[in-house]
Amino acid sequence: MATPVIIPKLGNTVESCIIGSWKKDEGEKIKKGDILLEIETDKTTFEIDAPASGILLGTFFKEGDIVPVPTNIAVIGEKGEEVESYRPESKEEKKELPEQLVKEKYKEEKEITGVEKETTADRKAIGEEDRTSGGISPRAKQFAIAHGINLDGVTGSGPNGRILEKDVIRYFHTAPRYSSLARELINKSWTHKGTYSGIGGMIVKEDLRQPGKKLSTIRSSIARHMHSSLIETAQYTITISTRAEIMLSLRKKIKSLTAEHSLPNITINDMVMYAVIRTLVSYPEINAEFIDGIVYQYEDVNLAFACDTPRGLIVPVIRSAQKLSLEELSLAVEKLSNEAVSGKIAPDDLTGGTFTTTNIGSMGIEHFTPIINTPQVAVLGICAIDLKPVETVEGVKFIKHIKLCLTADHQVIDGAPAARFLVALKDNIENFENIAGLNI
Amino acid sequence: MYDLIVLGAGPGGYEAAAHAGELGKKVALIEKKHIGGICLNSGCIPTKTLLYSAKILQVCKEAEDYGIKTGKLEIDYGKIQKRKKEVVALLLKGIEGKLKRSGVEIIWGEGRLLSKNTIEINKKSYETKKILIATGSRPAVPPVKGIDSSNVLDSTAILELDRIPKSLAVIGAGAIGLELACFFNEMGTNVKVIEMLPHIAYQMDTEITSYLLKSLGKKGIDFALTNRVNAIDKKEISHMDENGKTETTQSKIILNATGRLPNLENIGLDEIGILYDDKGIKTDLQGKTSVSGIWACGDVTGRCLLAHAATREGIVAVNNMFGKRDVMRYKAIPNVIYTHPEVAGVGATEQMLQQEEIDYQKNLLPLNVSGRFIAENEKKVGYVKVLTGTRYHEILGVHIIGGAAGEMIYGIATFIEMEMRVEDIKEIVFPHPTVSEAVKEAICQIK
Repeated sequence: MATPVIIPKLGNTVESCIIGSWKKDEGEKIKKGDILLEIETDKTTFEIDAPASGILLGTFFKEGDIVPVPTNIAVIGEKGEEVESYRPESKEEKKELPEQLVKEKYKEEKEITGVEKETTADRKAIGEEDRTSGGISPRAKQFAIAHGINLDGVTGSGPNGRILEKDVIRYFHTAPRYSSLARELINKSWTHKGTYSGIGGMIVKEDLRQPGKKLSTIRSSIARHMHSSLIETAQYTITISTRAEIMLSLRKKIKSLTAEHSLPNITINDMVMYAVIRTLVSYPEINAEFIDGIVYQYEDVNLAFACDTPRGLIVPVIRSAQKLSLEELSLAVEKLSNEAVSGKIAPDDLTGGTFTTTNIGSMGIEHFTPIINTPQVAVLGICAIDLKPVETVEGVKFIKHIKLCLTADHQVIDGAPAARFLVALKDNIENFENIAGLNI
Repeated sequence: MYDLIVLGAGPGGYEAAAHAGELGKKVALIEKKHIGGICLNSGCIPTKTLLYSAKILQVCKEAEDYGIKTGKLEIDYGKIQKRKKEVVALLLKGIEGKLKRSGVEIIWGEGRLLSKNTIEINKKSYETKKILIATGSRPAVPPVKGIDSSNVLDSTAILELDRIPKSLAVIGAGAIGLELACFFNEMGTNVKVIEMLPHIAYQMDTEITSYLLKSLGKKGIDFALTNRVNAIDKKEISHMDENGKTETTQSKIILNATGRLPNLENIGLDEIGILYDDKGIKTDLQGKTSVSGIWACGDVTGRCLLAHAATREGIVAVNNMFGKRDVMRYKAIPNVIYTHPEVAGVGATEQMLQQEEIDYQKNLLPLNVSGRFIAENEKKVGYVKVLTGTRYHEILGVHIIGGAAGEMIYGIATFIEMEMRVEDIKEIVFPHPTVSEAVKEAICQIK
């Protein structure tokens, strides 16, 4: 009895996903628990494990296909077992019709012209495999294959832009020439930069650029999101320096006590996040979203924090963070970070944030302008701890400070309220023992 | 008002002037001394006539190996010198004819730029739309004590000697030093070459030049590599190796062949604001200098000190200045050393590829895979070395020692310009029996 591979429902917010890369090929022997493939949502990627051991009898989707969840995407079983009954129906219909039409059309044309049977490589070389509408006349195709012409640059003059032989011949006589090497590179997906450096304007290797890499689904999502954030909001960043001695001495104490008090490893970042939560409770205009001209202020602080992972930027969310103690917050941050890095994070833990923090201070960054995770209205950048001269009664002293950069959306938050929030946050950090609630 | 005034009638300047003239432009060519420049008058051409006389002598000496008996051989150095002058004179006539046919006016004197449209020659001003600077280069004189002694000659002066010296010390094992060392050695002079670098002809592929070093050593030329000249005291050269060991070489005649310097002086570069450094005038790949309307080509740019590069640079500049888009490419400029054996190369050398960390495949093949090479080269060796890209097998460089290497190399330049790959060259038919078959074989063996 064969076992279907089903993409599970990924929480309440995800309705479809994209097939990433298959790690196993059809016909390959696999063990239960082997990683079968990667799937992508717009926020992260997941690995799907084999639910059973056996032969991968069939896969029903290829890389890049969008698949609703839950769906049957493959089947595992013994050699010879029936596969088709597992195939999701709608896909099957779509796939078969056009291919059959295409086959019939070619058959008819080949009989007329007696074109030699072209190989897949030929089809690829002339760029036929990428073409959809209009098509190519068999004589045009024959000419293209014989002369090594890539049809990408040829404009068809036939019905629906169908490429006719005369189009290809005209192109052949007027198009730029490629060197042998350049032609091979073009067939390997290099692209023309627009210069013509060879003899008589021939296109040579230096006129080509190497194949680029298409952004992953997550990366495109980040790109879109960040770009639209900058386009649709009026962002500005203000920076403040905050004395860090209290947090640092607390951190030292915690480190020495971790074992006997079974305390979590509370980091400076945890403490700043904790102070942020405590401050946000009093500043609901910062803990807010701005959607279609309406500001939604929230009592619950759903704190999002940026995580650098091998899959790119992932932003987990700690829900109702104002209800957590410092220790609970620290544990939650650690758990979600680990899940984000290992790719096991649940999609529901990636949505619903009301404010975001991002920390690149651990790498020594002294100032930056974080970009708002819209529709949120502000984001806090946490910078490095550094010495700052401070005038005291005993003269100038160098005291450790941490820099905080708040980017706010001027559409809804003016400079003064943003500054008031940042000063309140500074107060909370500089008097951290008052809010920490730690019994140590 | 001229369309173009060219400063300097060497192979860069006169070819550019003629080309502009053929395009129907009003052109003046300014020259202070000789039409044809160093190349024709005291460089490429005279050395080749001398070297050919030496080659005939070698052939006669080796004639017995080929079943020919000769009598006593005698050198008529006066006749050799006379023939050299005749060859130069004949070629000069050719150039003068070409300039005349293309309507180029020759103005004798030294030109100095007064503005980007004015040049002063013999205190007379000439107006022009464009200017091409092609003033060439001269032998460099390194700061060595005693290098100004009267027995230290440069490559121009040594060609005028009226007799063959008993001994000759050559400082610098570049193409010029090696060719003259080879010539005088074959004429019977006792020759020693002193070179600062560990290789001879450093711009060529060092594996190929190591064979040249062996061949020249076998002929009796003495080499002191990685040796720096400290001082010259009349006939004595004191030089020191990398370990600090000092040695003295005795020689009546000393050839300074340590390199060449661009002729940047007295042409008004600073006044007009043309950018240059001690290598030469800064140009782009079209030949433009930093001042619009002023162009430069050849040795004075310091880009590539070869006559044929200068010619192409000049033509590129003229094409661009009169509206035809053209661009200089340096990756396929052949380099030939006319020693016996002859060395030629084009494209990347192996040391270049290693330095630039480019992946490559290589094949070194003896030329005696060619029937003609064996038939014509008793007791001699030759090699061809092919360098291709690893992934696409495009030809990156080919280097040859032996046979008529210099006559074959243009074919390889074509392969490189056309970015041909090994599989393309397999489709070309090479004539049989020729030495060039060895080149094809070396290329086609790359997999």
